[in-house]
Amino acid sequence: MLSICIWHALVGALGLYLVPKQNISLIRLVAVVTALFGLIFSIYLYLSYDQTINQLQFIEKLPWIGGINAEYFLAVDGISVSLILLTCLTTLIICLMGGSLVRQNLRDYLAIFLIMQSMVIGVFCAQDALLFFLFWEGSLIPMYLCIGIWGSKNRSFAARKFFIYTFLGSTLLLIAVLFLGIKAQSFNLANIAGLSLDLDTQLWLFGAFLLAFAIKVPMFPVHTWLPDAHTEAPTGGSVLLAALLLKVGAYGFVRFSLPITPDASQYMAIPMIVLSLIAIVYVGFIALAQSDMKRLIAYSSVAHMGFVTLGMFGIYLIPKELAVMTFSGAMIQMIAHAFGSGAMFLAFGMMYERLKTRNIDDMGGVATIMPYLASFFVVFSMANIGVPGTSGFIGELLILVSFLKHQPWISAIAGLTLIISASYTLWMVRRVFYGPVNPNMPLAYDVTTHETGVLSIFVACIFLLGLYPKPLGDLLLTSSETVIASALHSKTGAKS
Amino acid sequence: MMSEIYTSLAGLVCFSPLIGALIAGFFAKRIGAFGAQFMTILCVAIAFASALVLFNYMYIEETRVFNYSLYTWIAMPGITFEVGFWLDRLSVGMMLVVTAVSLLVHIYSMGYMKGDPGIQRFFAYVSFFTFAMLMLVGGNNLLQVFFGWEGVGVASYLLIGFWFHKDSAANGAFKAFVVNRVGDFGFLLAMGLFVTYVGSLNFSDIFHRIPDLAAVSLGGMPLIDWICMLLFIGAMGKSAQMPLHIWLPESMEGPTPISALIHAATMVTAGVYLLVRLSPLFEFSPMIRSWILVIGATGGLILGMIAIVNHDIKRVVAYSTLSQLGYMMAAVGASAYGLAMFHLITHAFFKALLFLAAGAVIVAAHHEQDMRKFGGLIHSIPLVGVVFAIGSMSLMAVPLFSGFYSKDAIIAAIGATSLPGAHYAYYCLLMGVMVTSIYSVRAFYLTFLGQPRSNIHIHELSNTIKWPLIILAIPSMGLGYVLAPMAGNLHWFGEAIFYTHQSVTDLAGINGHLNHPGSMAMDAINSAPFILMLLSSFATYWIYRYSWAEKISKIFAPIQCLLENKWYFDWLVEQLLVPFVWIFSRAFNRVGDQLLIDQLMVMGPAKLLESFSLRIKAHISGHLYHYAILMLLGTAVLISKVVMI
Repeated sequence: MLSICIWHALVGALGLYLVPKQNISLIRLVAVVTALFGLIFSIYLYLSYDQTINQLQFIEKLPWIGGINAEYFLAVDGISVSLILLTCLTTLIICLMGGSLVRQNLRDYLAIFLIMQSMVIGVFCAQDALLFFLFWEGSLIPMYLCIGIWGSKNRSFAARKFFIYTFLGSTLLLIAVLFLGIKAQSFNLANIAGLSLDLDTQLWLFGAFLLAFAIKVPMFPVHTWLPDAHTEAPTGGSVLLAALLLKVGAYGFVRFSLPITPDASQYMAIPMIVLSLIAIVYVGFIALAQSDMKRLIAYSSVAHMGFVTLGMFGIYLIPKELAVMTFSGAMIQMIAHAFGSGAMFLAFGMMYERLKTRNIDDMGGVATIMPYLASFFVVFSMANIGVPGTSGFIGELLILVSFLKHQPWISAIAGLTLIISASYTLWMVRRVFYGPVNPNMPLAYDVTTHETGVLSIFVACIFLLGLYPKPLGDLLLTSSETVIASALHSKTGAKS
Repeated sequence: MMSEIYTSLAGLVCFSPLIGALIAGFFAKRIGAFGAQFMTILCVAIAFASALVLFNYMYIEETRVFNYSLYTWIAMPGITFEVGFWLDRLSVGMMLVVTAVSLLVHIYSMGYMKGDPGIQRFFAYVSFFTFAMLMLVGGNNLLQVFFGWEGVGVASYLLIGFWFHKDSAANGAFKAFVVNRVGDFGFLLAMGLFVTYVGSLNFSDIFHRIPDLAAVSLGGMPLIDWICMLLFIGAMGKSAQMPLHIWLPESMEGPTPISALIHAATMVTAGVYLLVRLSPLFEFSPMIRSWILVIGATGGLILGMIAIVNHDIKRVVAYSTLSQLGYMMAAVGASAYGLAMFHLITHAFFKALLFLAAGAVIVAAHHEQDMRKFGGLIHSIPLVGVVFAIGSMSLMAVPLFSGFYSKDAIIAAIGATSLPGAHYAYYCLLMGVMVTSIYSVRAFYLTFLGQPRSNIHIHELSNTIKWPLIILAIPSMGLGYVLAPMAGNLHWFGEAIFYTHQSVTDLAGINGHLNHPGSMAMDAINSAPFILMLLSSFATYWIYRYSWAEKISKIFAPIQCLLENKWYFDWLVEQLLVPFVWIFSRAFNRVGDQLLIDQLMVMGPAKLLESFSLRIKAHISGHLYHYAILMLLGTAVLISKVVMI
């Protein structure tokens, strides 16, 4: 079942190449049908996932590389299921939008996103460390190509920076994985997590994981590749980067750092939280100073992902019940961030198509000429700010409130985001959409019906999740408890 | 059976404005301007009627409290966050005020917004605002209150920026939202304290656990004081208390009907409502109440003074709102929750009347707002002049008018309380009475009396503008008299408000007066507030009658300078805080991120590698796969090391 979930998109991508290059409408149809199939299938997966059972489900296990005991081992828990749903939804939106945002090599463009979907879902399903690494690296190359081929002016620099930066992290991850695999005589994540390791070893491993995952998330101070990659990437690439690839990094923390090196995670919890807080406050300030709209949204992404890492490592500082709350908050924030930032990138892409500029000073009064697009953007901004009733609020609320008794300083600092995120987001909205029309802007038409439809999907997700997050919370709850239990289980004591 | 009726009524009250908003928003083109107006007005009228029925149950048929949950928002171990309603006399009374004012403002807007291209959008926003406000008022837990709290903030943001092509409107909207967020920060932290210490956000759980909370202390201060302080910070944002009041005058850039609805009658009173709702907490925190008393009273005096020198008719009314909000807050500080609500209700009507009358003047004068250009308008728009006078007299607390009962009772209550700072607050508010009279008489004189100072052609007013004015004039005159005997009872909101023993003894004397509104008006004739009001009104009248204003302003030049600069609050924010933030964010961006992290830490090694690779270019081409191979090689070396270990 999970194999279908992973590989159908790859099949679809190959199928695209059976269609002649000129037949654009058929190409689009194939891509959309593949993505739609993925979404329906993942909804089916969600419905058949048993939330009452506290263990991995839909297990598929085949021997893979016999000599080193690596297996083709797929299984999911609630966290994976929610992220798979998100992946399929995002890909569908990109495929629906693809045709109107990219003019050249549409077939390759769509194929790349379908391949990326395969790889990302693979990451979320893999329960074998080596397989995880394979998918992890697999998602890197399509993104590199995507920025390098369809990016804007400075694309090759941004693509290289993105690739080398993330690849650097990956090599360390590979070393750590190999070390653990040899030690455990298996690459099965459960077996690896069962190893007892002393604190020093754990710290080394934690460092290797940290570099790999922190770059992907990205955490302060290894975040500077993201604004470059976002500004140069095509719209689809930006949406996917924000909505999915950043989550892969955070997911890595959940699957590797917390269960495999729990003592090191505990040891490093305060520094990690400080880095997260810096991301929330300092990066928020930086976002305020941006004059490039895409860079601004990219920095706001970093600030929002700061909440995810805050919620993950905050579990070590508070009692278990509250830890579950803050951890679930972090997981929900991951999903919600896709709807805030991803949607903003998509709407921005539509504006860019018309205005051909990213510079905020070249815009102004856009709401007068594109009232509908402006309305959509304001809704997305509200989700980004975390107004209650939108998806952005839930995660922030759960994380902020859970620290108040035991570590009030964390809430007090992180809570500043209420003011900072409102400032940079609405200041951008004010400069771009409000005010008199900038006479230097080209004449532009408002969103088409097709674009309205695609943006409405995001709007629907924002409000559905914001007004009734209980299903998502329930889906994540037991899995979060499991992760926290293993993250709090010390492994140094069990050594002798 | 009864519970089903309540459920459906509460649902109707809250959700029908939402339905109206959605219809007007989504089908704007299909139903046209009239369709949107009709649908939203119909929906708000349904809400108003349902609120009336609920009012009947709560006040006449003596139902006490009805608390139910609609659905579970999200469930976490140990705590569930819910959406639900809490109906008691307090919330239902407030619902009635909100829907009544909203209905009148909707009707008035038909005339005021006539011909505006965005009229459907306007009605959708106003209805959405009404919905959010009702969610705030009716919530049975703090999370839902917060939902409504931010929802009205969003609606206010959208409506202030309704004419988004104007720079001033765009800036006002931005400022309003961000300043309100400072307050929301406090609110959110207070919610966090409830979640972690009480394990629930529901009012019923919170109220039950107050004795436990009272025993806890946090960092040397009782927990209750922390909670009340944070909640008050939240209320300071929404109810525009110093120093977070700076957004309210700027919000006047929005259309006038919404100034009446949002920035006078309902949203800005949400902070007062929240504190009254949580009176069982605030009663146990005399220290914070003392602060509320002092901050409220100070604002009541000095923010009102700004209105004396302002020339914009709307802003004069806005500063008077700031001052009256100070009175309400001070009443909360003095434990006179019932009187705070009493003033909130009378103020909602007479201030809405003043705003709508000011709006009528503005429409009649072709969107001119500068009072220096008016004069003698009583002859061309007599009806507006009369209702403006009624509103002003109510505001100035002329005996028998609505504002008299609530305001004089508040001043008396503050005089009677024994909290630290009560004397200071009492004298502030007494002087505030003078200030109120001065700016009210001045505004009326400049606008309606004297000779016309410019040749403004006066526009005929439509009936949809006139009728709401007439309807609002009635409660502005008589509501105080009717409600006074009820407000005289400490428990006129049933169990909703909690008083400690001390508060009950302090307030006993004042409430006796209110029970006999007629004789209270008679007795007022030799009371300090009345004499001050009378003296300052006549003085102001003569000053303008004989054009002494110029000379007097020269004598008081330093004070006038202070007032014209709005006590330098805006200057502090705009000239000190904002540049400070800019310098920081630019420095973080340029030095921190671009230079130190990106150029030095990230690109530094890359540049080093590049120069290295240039030197041995014969061997290395600089292609990506070469870098990859290098990395793999390095990895292999590392692995071999690892394996050897």
